[in-house]
Parts: sequence; structure tokens; C-alpha cells
Amino acid sequence: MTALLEIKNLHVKIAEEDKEILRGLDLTVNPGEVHAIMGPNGSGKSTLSYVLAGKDDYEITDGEILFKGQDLTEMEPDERAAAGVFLAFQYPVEIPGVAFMTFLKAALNAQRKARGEGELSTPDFMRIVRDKAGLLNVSQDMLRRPVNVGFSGGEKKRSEILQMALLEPTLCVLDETDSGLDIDALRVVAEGVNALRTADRSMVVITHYQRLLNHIVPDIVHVMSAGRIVKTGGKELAMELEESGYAGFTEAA
Amino acid sequence: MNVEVRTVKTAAEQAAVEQFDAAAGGLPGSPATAAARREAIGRVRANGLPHRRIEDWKYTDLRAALRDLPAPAVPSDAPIGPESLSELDAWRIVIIDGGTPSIPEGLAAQGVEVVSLARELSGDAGAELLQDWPAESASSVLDLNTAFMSTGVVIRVGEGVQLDRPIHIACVTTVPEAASVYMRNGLEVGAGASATVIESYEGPDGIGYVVNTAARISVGRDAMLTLVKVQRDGNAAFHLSTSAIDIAERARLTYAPFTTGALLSRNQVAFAFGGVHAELNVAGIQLLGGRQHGDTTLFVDHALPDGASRELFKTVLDDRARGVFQGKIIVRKDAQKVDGRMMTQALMLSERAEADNKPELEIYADDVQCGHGATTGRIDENLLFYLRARGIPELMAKALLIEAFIGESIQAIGNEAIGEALSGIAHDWVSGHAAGEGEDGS
Repeated sequence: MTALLEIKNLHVKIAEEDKEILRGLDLTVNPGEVHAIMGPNGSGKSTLSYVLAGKDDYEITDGEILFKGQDLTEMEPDERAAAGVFLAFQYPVEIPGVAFMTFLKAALNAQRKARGEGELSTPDFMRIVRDKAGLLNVSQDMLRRPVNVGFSGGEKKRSEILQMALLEPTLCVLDETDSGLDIDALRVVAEGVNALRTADRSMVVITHYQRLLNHIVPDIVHVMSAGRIVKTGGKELAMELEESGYAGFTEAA
Repeated sequence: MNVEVRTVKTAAEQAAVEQFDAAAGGLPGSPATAAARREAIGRVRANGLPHRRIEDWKYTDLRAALRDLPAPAVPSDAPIGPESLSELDAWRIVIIDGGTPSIPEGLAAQGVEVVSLARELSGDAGAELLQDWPAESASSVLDLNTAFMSTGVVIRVGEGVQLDRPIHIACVTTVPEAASVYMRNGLEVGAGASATVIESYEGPDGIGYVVNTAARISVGRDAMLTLVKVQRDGNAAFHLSTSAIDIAERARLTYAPFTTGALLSRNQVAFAFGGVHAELNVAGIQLLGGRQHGDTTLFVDHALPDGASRELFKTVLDDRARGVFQGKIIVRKDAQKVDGRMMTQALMLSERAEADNKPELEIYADDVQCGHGATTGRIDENLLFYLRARGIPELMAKALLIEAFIGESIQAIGNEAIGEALSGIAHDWVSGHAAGEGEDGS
């Protein structure tokens, strides 16, 4: 089986600074697998998600990232998206003046165009959005607003999952998707994510707490500390962390 | 006035006086008009063109910029329709190269009287256009307009008239070489009437023609006026504009200046609240690139209580363009309960562009709500990354964000058809500038 994502000995620092954040990270994600990455604040979890999506605040000093066998680091953020990488942001930004529907349509059609597929007609597009929005409790009112503007914390996260459902990526990176959610909102978001699990779609779920993993059950759990993966196990590893905390792992690093 | 005595005249100042001597005999109007013209050119002779040591013109040194003043244009009868906004369904008055305005016949039946400037000035009523200007409008630019004005229209919308379509005054310049067009318009919206009026300006690129336009406007009691000014003059042109607008009791005025043309432009407007409970809503946009210089200078005079003014002004600058916004709000002693707000925002697409924002509040009443804000910034990298992370290519993402920035002002106009037309112009501009740091325009 060819890995969907292969990260080898990845070293990353913040551009224009000397501080290294990722220090020799290795990670292999096969098609259909759900990986959880857990770790304390400052371990580099969010940096990993931004580096995968292509944010240019970071500099890769060593190592490689292969996505479907291709060098991901050579691709622009929009090229990565069109190739199937999706980052669900921890803090989705508000974009005043850009209507949510306009944004969704621009994103979907830009990706289709980049892949050599035809653009969707407006009626087809509207129908698809309505279907997917209904499953995620995304109201017509939210769809009529500018992107994320005036959305509550839960609405922003549901908006992220709606985008993910619409864009149908092969690699979903969920960065602290549980942060700021109450238990009901968490359940809706998790159900939305679970509905997207397929045999060829993989997920990397980044979280600080174990509770999200009660709802999105991972195949593999990694513990990250000081910029690298320090332990890998099954879903029981998450339970273990919940009991004992990160202290034992951070010391080991 | 802080005008210094100078003996050395620039070529443009010299030309103005000489051109007046040559042209005065052929300019329209009554003997009173002729006298007003002579007085005006006398002030131009004494004061010269506005320059940077006059406070209001600090950022726009017209004396230095306008090296020569082209002779008045020869009116054209060329049958050329306006390109700008031609898709808008409107009563269209077209003025080509300062020629005779074409006035649509159906307007009279709507309860709207339209007469040409020449006819207005030959009668007694013309006095209003000549004398009734606030001190804040005074400048050699307005004096030059008074001295040379040769075309324009006076529009009177009758009491209670609800206009079915906008009136569009299209000032089209087609001159093959530099020339000056002097237009003056009057607009009176009667009590309880409702009207939308659009002024548009356009002309050829690469020719240093001058458009000097002035408008004296009043919005009657309980009347509503939406006034849109679309300035798309050629990229080597000078566009100089002076307007004064009175707003009567309970009247509502929306003023939307949209500037994207001319090498140098100055759009100066004085608003005076002449009645209580009146409202002013300014929704402005300025899109400049190359070496364009665009100056919008607004003066809001709250003389009476319970008025409200909202100003939202958006500037986008590329290349070496310079955008100037000066906004002054005066709240006089008796103007209690006034609500005055002004926001000016500049988006810089280039490191070499310059935005000068000068908001001023002068408040003499003690029970008012007034505020102003000014921001200048670049495209937000976080928003850009978010859009790109969803697959939207960089240029398209930038264009979306620039149009969103402009869109707030377009929405504030509150007129869908006009909003769509302006969005279209903005979209074309943005498509050519989203990359930023482009080639300097010529």
C-alpha cells in the first residue's frame, strides 16, 4: 500500500527566527486511516498543521513531506488544496464582505478547474451545499452571511466541516477542532467528521484533550513533544494520557 | 485667508488670465454673469492656483502639478454615447467636450425641469449659481470655473416628485489634444421629492486635458437624494471638482463619490445642514494606480440640532499612487444631539503608494456623539492564507479581498442597480491590480 502522507525527519523553524519548532518529525498516514496527534501546548502540533497546508511563516530546514508520492513542500497552498489537502483551522478567520456562498463556490470551482474538471452550475452547487449544510445544522442564515462573520465558536467549526464535506479532500487535518465547543456542538461536529470517513480518505486529528477521541475514534494515536513524535499506539494510548497526563512523555523527550 | 502676495506667475496662471481676455466675449450669461466672471478671474490673478502652503491644499499642490492650463475646449457634436454606466436605465444628459447638453424630452412630464447652463445664466435665476456658495468652497479652482463655465445643466425636481429612474449627467471628453472643459450644474430637489442623480466623467488616456466642474445642490424638506459621482477621466487628465450641498429639515442625502480616473483629481464637497433631523450618508471609493493622485476633501457643517452624518471612505492604492482624504466635521454650538461619524480606510497594494488621511472634528455643542477613525493597511495575510488553503489561487483570493474591502462602501449606497454597476467597474480595476506592485501607469 502506498502511503497517502509520508513525513520524514521534518525540521521546521519560524521564518526569520532561529527557534526550531519541529525537530525530526516522522509520520506515515495510509489511505483510510484516522490518526490522532496529542501533545501539550507548545509541542508543535499546530505548526505541523500549518506546514502541511503551506503557510509561509515557516521554513523547512530539513526532511521531506510526500503527499501521494509528490513533494508537498513545492506546492502553493491552493495547489495543495486542489490536490486533496484540507486544514480545518483551529481559529477560522472572519472575512467581512465575502459572502459565504460566493466563497464556497469560488473554492469548489477553483479546485475543480485545477484538477481539469468542469465548473459546477449554480443550481447544482446550491443543491449540494443545501444537502451538506442540512446534515451539519448549518442554517440558511449562516450561508447568507459573510464568511464566518458573526458565527459563534460552534458555528465556525461547523462551517469548517461543511467546507470539508463540500471539497471532499483525501487528507483532512483537523487542528484542535474541539476547542471552544460544548458537548452538544462537539457531537454535531464529530458526527459530521465521522460521516466523511471512507476507505481512501485519511484524517489527522490534532487535539490537546482526549474527549474528542471518544467521538472520533482514531486508528492510531501519537504523542508529540518538543517537535517530534515520542510515542505511537492504539486508541488506548489516548486513555492512558487522560489518566497520567503528558508529564511522563515530555520528560522522556 | 493665508494667501501670500506673489508677483511671479506660473505658466498656467498666466494662461488663465490671457485665455479669459480672449474668451470672455463669447461666454454665456447676463451682464451680471459677465461681472461675476471678471471678479473671479481677478481673484485668480491675485491668488494664483492653490498650493501646498494653503492648509486645505497641503497634500495637493495644484500650482506645482498643473504646469500649463490648456485653452477651453471647442465644443463637439460628435455623436458619441457614454461608455460609463451605459447599462443603467436612466434619463441621460450627455455633454461632449463642453458642448450643448442633450436633454431628454420625457423629463418634463416627470415633473423635472432641466435647462442648460447658458439659458440659466442669461436669466435672473442664474444669480444663485453665481453667488450662493459657502466660504468652504472658495478657491481659485471654483473661481476659474466661474470665469470660464460654458456648459452644464440646472435640474429642478418638483415638490413631491418621485423620479422613476436616475438622471445621469455624462460628461464625456473626446478632445484629440489637451483642452479645458468648464462645467457647472445646479440641482434642486423639491420638498418631499425623491431622486437619484449620477454624474459621470470619462475621457481619453494619455491627454492632459482638464475638467473643472462645479455643482450647487439643495435637498428640500423631507426630500431624498442619492447622488453618485463616477470619475473615470483619462490617466493624464486633471479633474477638479467643487460641490456645495444644502440639506434641509428631515431630508436624506446619500453621496457616493467613486474615483478611479485622472492623473490628478480633487473632489471637494461642502455639506451644510440647514434643518433639523436631516441625514447625510457618504459612501466613497477611490481606486488609484500608476502615478495617480486622488484627493477627496469633504466638509460637513452641522449647524442645527438632531442631524446625523455617516461617512465611510475606502481607498485602494497600487504602484506609486497617492490617495488623500480630508474630512472635517463641524458641530456648531446649537447643534445638540448630532450624531457624526467618519471612517476612512486605505488598502495599500504597493509599498510605494501613499495614503494621507486627515479626519478633523470641531465640536462646539456639548451633547453630541461624534467619532472618527482612520486605518491604513495591506491585505491581511491570514485572510489570504485561509482563502488559498481552500484552493483559491492567490490572485483570485486577493481580488476577492480587495472587492470585499470596497464592497462595504458600495453596499452603503443602498441602491442595487448602481451598486452592481460600480462593482463591475471595481472588478475590472481590481483584476488589473490584484497582483500589486505592477508597472507604473503612464
